[in-house]
Amino acid sequence: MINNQHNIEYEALLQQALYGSLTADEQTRFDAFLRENSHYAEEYGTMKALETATANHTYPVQSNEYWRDFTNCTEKRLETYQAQKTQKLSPIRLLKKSVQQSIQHGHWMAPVLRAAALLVVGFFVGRWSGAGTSYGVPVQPVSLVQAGYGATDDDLHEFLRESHLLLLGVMNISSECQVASPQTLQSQQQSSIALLCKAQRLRQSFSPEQSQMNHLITEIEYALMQVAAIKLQTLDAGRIQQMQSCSGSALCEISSQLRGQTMQ
Amino acid sequence: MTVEQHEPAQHERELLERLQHSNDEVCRSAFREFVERFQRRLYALAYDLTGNHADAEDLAQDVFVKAFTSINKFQGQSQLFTWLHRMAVNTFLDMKRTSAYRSLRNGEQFNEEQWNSSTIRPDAATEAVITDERIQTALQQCSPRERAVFVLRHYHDQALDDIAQTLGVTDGTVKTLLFRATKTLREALSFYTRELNVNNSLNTERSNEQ
Repeated sequence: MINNQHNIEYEALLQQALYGSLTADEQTRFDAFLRENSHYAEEYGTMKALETATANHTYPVQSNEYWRDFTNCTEKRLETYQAQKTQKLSPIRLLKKSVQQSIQHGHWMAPVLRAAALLVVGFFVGRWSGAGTSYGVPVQPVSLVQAGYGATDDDLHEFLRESHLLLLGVMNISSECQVASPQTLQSQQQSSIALLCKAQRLRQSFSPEQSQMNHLITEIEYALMQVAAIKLQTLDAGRIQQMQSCSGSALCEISSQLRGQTMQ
Repeated sequence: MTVEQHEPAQHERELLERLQHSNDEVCRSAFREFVERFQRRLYALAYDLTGNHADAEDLAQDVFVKAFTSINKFQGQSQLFTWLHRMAVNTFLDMKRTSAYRSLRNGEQFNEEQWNSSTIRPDAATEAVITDERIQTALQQCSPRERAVFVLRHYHDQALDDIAQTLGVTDGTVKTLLFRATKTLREALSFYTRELNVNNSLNTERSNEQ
């Protein structure tokens, strides 16, 4: 228990030492940890070395000709994108675009097109204004958030809870003895796939302001995908470790999110 | 504000105005200039995120097209490159998610090569470059978010709060992601610990000499 607590304290100090700043008191405690435990000292040494090693980072050197080609290709890509977009334009947008172009170029068809555009717009405005009062009952505009927010909130909570449970199970797989049983893994895979479907539905209901939630779901999705994509034949200690690394990351974030929800 | 600071800002504003112009010709020439101006930096970021040339090229070009088609949404609160930078990170995360989903839908296992690949350059002769390659390979074992955070911090020297803003998370989350990435890398590179330490002492010597 003491060891575990020591480890937690050391990890917190290590994180600060690498990516923050230690106070004088914290620095003394951290130095003591490094002195007393050779494993800690070695770990800190390598992590620090890794930081310095990134200074040697190099990029592929490209010629000026390459950059010219790059610009040309990007231009072509934009043209293709715009051409595809034009093909997908709705009749109203097409009409609007051609009216704008005709007016800009003083085309003889401009007045006719303008009248046609007005007619089409008038038709839709008429339909839209009548729609709200069909059968004499005023229809309130229903936004996605208003309609489903409560349900989405519950769904989200449920999704987080289920993912948490599943990923905890994954963390408990021992890399030495591989998987407890193929059946366990199969059911974990099925649950992962079901949760991935839920994740996609949840994502669709998020508003653009909920980007943080979107990121959380993304993190969980990665972990779930790792589980869902496992094949028993190729499962080895390395793969389990990789899967657990993703699961661990996701678990931390789920826990803090669930804690936040409970506190609210 | 110095002249050096003023001129790029002025130039960027002019470029932005031309990008947002309604005339196709003006827009087109502005787009070319826009790409020429930022392609090297954006490619470097894309290369760090994806870990290989082909995907980096694809990501960078995709981001340019995306940026151009949504240029009217750019409100000028940040520099143009900062905006591109954010778009690149988020496009990369989306790209990873979509490709992983696609593999799943097709009933494929995760492509180990795709996840663990690194481009070994034939001229990578020096120890330092080899270590760099190994770090790049090991970075593939991190989750895309951990990788993105590590790359932004270590290769692009971004401040923690800037990274947090890019990803829409708190500073604490960025620290945690960085820490996890570093731990994963340490484990993945444990085989090369000695070389890492040798490189480290070489770097220290070099910086002392300077």
